[in-house]
Amino acid sequence: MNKKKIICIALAVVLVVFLALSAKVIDKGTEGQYTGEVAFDANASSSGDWESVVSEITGKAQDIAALDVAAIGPGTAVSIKGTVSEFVSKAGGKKNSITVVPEGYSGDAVFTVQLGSIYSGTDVRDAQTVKGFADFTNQTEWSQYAKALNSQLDELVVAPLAIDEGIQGKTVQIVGAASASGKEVTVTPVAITIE
Amino acid sequence: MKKICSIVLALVLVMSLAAFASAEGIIYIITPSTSNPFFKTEQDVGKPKAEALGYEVKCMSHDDDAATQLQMFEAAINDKAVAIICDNAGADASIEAVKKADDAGIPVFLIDREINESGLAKAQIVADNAQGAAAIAEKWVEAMNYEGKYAELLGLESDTNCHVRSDNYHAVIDEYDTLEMVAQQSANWDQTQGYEKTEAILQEHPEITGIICGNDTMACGATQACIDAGRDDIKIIGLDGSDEAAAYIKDGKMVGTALQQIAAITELAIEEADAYIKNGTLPEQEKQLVPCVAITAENVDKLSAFVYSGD
Repeated sequence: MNKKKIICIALAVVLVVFLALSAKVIDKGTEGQYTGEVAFDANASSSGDWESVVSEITGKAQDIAALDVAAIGPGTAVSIKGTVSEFVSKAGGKKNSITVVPEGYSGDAVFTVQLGSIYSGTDVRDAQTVKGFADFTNQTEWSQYAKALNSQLDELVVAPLAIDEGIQGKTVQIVGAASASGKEVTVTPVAITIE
Repeated sequence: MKKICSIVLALVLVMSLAAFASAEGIIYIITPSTSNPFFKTEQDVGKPKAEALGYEVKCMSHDDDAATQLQMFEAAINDKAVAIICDNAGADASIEAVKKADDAGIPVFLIDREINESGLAKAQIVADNAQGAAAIAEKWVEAMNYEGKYAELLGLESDTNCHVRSDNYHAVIDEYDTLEMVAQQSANWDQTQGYEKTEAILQEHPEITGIICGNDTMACGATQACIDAGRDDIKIIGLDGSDEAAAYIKDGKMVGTALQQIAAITELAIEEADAYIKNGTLPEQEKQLVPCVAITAENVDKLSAFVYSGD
């Protein structure tokens, strides 16, 4: 072993020891205070957005009865005014919905409005532009955002109305985000008025 | 004399065709092994699409080896390629190759898989795995009638998509306390392992009525194991949209899959490369998500070779 090599090794050892001694142990979960990266929390991310999301969707909502069903969704902002023909409850009351017949509608599409408490799809997220995929780190966070918006609408819009089969025959006015599969149109509501 | 004339004419024709074919330059399409029909589709769709736009196309496979991939990128640089379309060999391992091409002024358009660095590729166009998993999980929950015990076959646990898919299956399923997972094992994206793990799970937990799988390859293995065990009551889903899964869905042996629209993704990448080469136009966003399509018995007839032919 030549002299140069020995010096190199000695220097390396000194460096490692110095690094070990000078390292600061950071508790798990507090890394964000040092790196600026905070663990993602979908709810925190959506709660501040909710009002802007509702006003955007309300602002651009189109009358669903006037739309070509083939052009609906994913995430088309719609408004629907009509009579509730049916209240359906599945999965032990966790997956409720109503069928609405829009006023003056003569087409053959069926319009279902989801009433939770479990909601399918990402239509509300896809109908808004308050946040986009680019605002999130990855696909999972983007999909958690959709879910967070859905829980928000359940908590603030649907659950307080405590809708049950008594709604059948009543007139409703709903704003929401829609998608279609064949002749079946599903609306996820962001505002509901029962007349 | 007549013969010489026709030979000369033929030569002129061939040469002018060759000149026409490469008038816009060479595009490299670099993908994983084409023994997997998913990756073969990338080359089969990308080549004619780029040729129709006036490019010469060179297709090759890196077989998921980053060193091989790097050599291919270097070949493209030496060849003065006008663009590289690549389904890369690893989110971290591919950064060097993409950077090299970018430094050499060759635009790179990534398809199917992302890399862990922004600002190097002109585009990263991937299937929305999270949305696809959630969409097919919704169909599965309905098929299960919202209740029962089930098993899950996970993909390769080192792969990001394994977790994205599993997390998003559970984001939907775990909302129902009436659905209970009794077994969860990795079958490493593999068909034989999918078959064997399912065989063992059926022995140990004969009460299950559903199996959720991270990809179609494992789902097809699981489906075959259920058929061989005489269990036609088990509701199975996968993700990819392969023709083999489609055949099982048609036969009612599988509930569904989520199609990653790889043909559409590849075409989009070629169009974006063309717009960049000819007009210097960059895509609005580097990272782009293409939605998956939930495939069930209702719409499986519209699926063939990773192409979904509309509503």
